[in-house]
Amino acid sequence: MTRFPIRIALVAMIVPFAFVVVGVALQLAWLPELPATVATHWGFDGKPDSFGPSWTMPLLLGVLGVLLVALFGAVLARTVGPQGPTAVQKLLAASSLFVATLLSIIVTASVGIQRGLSVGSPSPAILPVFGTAVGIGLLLAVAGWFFMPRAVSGASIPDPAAPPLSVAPGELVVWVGHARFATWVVILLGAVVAVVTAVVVFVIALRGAWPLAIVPVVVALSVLGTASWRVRVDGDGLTVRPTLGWPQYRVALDDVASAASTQVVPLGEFGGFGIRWGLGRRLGVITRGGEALEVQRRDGRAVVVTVDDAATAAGLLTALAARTAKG
Amino acid sequence: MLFRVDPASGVPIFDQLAASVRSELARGSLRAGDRLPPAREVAAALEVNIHTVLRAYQDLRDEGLVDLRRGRGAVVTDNAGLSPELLADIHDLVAEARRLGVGVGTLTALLREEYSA
Repeated sequence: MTRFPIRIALVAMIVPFAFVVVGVALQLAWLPELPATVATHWGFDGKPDSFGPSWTMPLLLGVLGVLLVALFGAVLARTVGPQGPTAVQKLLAASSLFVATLLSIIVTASVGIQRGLSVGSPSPAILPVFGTAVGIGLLLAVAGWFFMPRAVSGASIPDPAAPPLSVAPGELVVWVGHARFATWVVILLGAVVAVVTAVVVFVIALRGAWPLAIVPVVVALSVLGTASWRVRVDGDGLTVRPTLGWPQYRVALDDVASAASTQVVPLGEFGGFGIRWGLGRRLGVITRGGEALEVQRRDGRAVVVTVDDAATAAGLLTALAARTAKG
Repeated sequence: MLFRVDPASGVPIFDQLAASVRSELARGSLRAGDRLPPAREVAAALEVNIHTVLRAYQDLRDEGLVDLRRGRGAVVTDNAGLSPELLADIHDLVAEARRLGVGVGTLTALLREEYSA
């Protein structure tokens, strides 16, 4: 992080934080006018279904709001390069503003409309508040988007196309590589899956909602089944295949326009890790930052996969594609 | 990990496969603890017999470059790294052979002879 542009800081952190502070301050000022017990949660029918002490809401907004804004801000501060924000980063900043606005208005207003009520009297409807908050949040997020500097292209500049390996006409060649999360990331993901499973088991025990059991299974399969990918370049072109065997991505040799080794910034270009869509119709299999193989297809789409020794893979793919083209 | 096999070269295919692994070790793109691709996958991609690939892996094990374990495949051993001095010597040797017009076949034959001496 060299220079974090002030306009991004305003949209992603300063204005959202101000909303949270004002919200908390208002609620604290209203405390004397509130009944000791207030509605803290509303069901889908717009009627309150949960109640708590009157100090619950300012505490909730303060903790949640600061955590959220800090999270968005930290990600952006670490990833925005000196050349400016990418579209994905601008989206993150606008999301920070949207979420903070929404949260502050809803929590604060839901407390505000309960002023002067006595314990036990019916709580007012929350739905109009919700609609208004979404509207204001969206307006501010859009305004924030245009307030920020123009998005720079997130696509990294590939290293000059790898020199093709020399491959003799009848020679059989295969390059095999790996794209996988670091061990500590896999452990972290495993822990997340364990927590999700525990929560679901708890809910099932409490409510008997058996269909929920599908959730941890899907999470475990999608997270751990795509944590390790085998990448192959041979006479069939490029094949990228996860441990589970699905989803598998292939680029046939006669569909290869060019191949190069490139440097990937996961959050900036793809908005995260795993199977990702990046800017410029790029499908990413992203397990870490750094060296990656980028294959341009003839129709303009591209496949990017993070592997070591990508230059060799690119060189081989280039050579094999050329050999196929010659017949 | 790059495997190359030229069926026209006259060198047995399993030798060429083992040589591919050795040169990847020398290049530093394979390191101690790395796993070689499953023999089945290499065989399928190169359209050679799986036993040919296994033969290459067994030769590498006999040289102490990899460990073969059931279920874990072929794993590069700690002592697989070649010394930089040896690599430099090989570089010089090949350069000298080129200068004198000695082909790779002759040079390999001479090396073999030296080993069995």
